[in-house]
Amino acid sequence: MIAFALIPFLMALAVTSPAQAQWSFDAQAGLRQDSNLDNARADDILSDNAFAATVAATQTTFFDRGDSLSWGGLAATESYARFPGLNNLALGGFAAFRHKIGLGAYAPWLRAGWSSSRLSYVNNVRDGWLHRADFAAGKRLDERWSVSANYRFEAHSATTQAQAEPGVSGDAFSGHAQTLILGTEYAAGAGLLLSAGGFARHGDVVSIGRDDDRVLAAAKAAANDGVFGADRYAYRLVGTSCGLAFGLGVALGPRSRLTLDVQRQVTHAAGDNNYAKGIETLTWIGSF
Amino acid sequence: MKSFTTRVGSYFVATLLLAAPLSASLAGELHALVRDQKGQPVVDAVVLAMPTDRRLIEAPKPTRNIVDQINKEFLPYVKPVYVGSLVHFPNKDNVRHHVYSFSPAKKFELPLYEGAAAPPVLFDKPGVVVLGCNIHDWMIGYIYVADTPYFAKTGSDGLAAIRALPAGEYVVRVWHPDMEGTEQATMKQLTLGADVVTTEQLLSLKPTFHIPRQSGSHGAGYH
Ligand SMILES: [Cu+2]
Repeated sequence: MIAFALIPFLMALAVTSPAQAQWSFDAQAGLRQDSNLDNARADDILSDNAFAATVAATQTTFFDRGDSLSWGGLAATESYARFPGLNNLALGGFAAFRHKIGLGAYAPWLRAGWSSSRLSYVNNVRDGWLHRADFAAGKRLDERWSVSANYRFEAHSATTQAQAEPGVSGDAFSGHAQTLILGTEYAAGAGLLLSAGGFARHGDVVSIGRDDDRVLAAAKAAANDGVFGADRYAYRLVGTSCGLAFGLGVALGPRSRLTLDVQRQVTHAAGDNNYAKGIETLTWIGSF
Repeated sequence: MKSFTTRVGSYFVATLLLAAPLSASLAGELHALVRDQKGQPVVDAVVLAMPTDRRLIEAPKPTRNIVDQINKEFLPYVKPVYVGSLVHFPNKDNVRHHVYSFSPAKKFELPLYEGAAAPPVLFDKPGVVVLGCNIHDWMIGYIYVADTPYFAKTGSDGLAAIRALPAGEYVVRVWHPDMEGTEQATMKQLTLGADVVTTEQLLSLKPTFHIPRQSGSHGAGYH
């Protein structure tokens, strides 16, 4: 909602600014494999593959010192092979301001961004808004290497709340979290980009499992979850995740590339609900 | 026809071939072939001829020097100009560029502009000027500001021809953005008369890498 409220303001800013704006369009389509889709422990672990696609339109306005303001809208969809209840559509807006400290390709940069998306799931207890604010800084070290750090705060507010356990909130899908990401990119060739990064996330996680009093006692909220089976509950727990990610990007032409990302993470959540997962993503990205 | 080979350090081998006079005109011509360590022709090398007697330097005919920006690249990639020249930087793209250089030979900045809005830049000191764009990190180009009006740039065949050279003694040298070693190491003495002199230069090029166009750090402001 806030992002949509921002858009007319940003449009007005772009129109009144002497700087010229340019539109760009991005499309992504890919497959994602999640080894532990339900953030569960041992016996409850369920994996799935999803098809994901995103289209985004971005307007970028450059200012004299190399600063830029970009904003736009996006539509994203996910479609799951085993758990179609998770199929969803996200419609959102985003805006970011990027400031360059100095001139040239090696000048450090700072970025502050905001995005808001409306999420609509087949399993509509998950429906709601996802808001994200992020602050990033980065620098290109040489022709091949660049580094960046990103702090992100995200808040998910689910609209439908069904109380499953007396005295425990049913609002399992709302929550917030903060994430710190440190990353580096290495251009191995003109069309070959490698990336590596580490992240730490602290905040609410949704873990799905069978009825478990110990987990319920630690949970901030719990709800019946029809997606993974009638005997499964969604627990909102406070947890800390740490992970590593590695990426490989291959240019297919001047306007498109293929990326392969591999991520491994472990989470320590309240109620001793600790779990691990791996995510692999193969994505085609086109820019127009 | 005679030939001899000189070796300067490990980087530079030059072969000089003296061709038969073509005409009786007073101005000579220097044809240079520049090849790399694998024997391949080198494109975008600047071959320069400096007369030992500086009085032989004649003011060149005024020319309009242009470095275009087309498809978010500088064109030409290497532009040699005589010291004191003005260079125009027209933008033929439908996005704006912000051309700059940090090079000691010319520090300048043409903030965001489109079309032919940027004023020409005067290059008044000899040396190499590396061009960049503050918006498009991958854009790179070179202006070689020559201390002699007698220069030419090699084409894809590695050949450069310097015409209308007054007869006399010259020091010929070569510069390339990727060359290993110095220009000084390529220097050699030639005598030019009213004929065509052909010289062959071997440059050792080091592998260079430019910032790729598709590097995520300039990406969109979402996700
Ligand atoms: Cu540019």
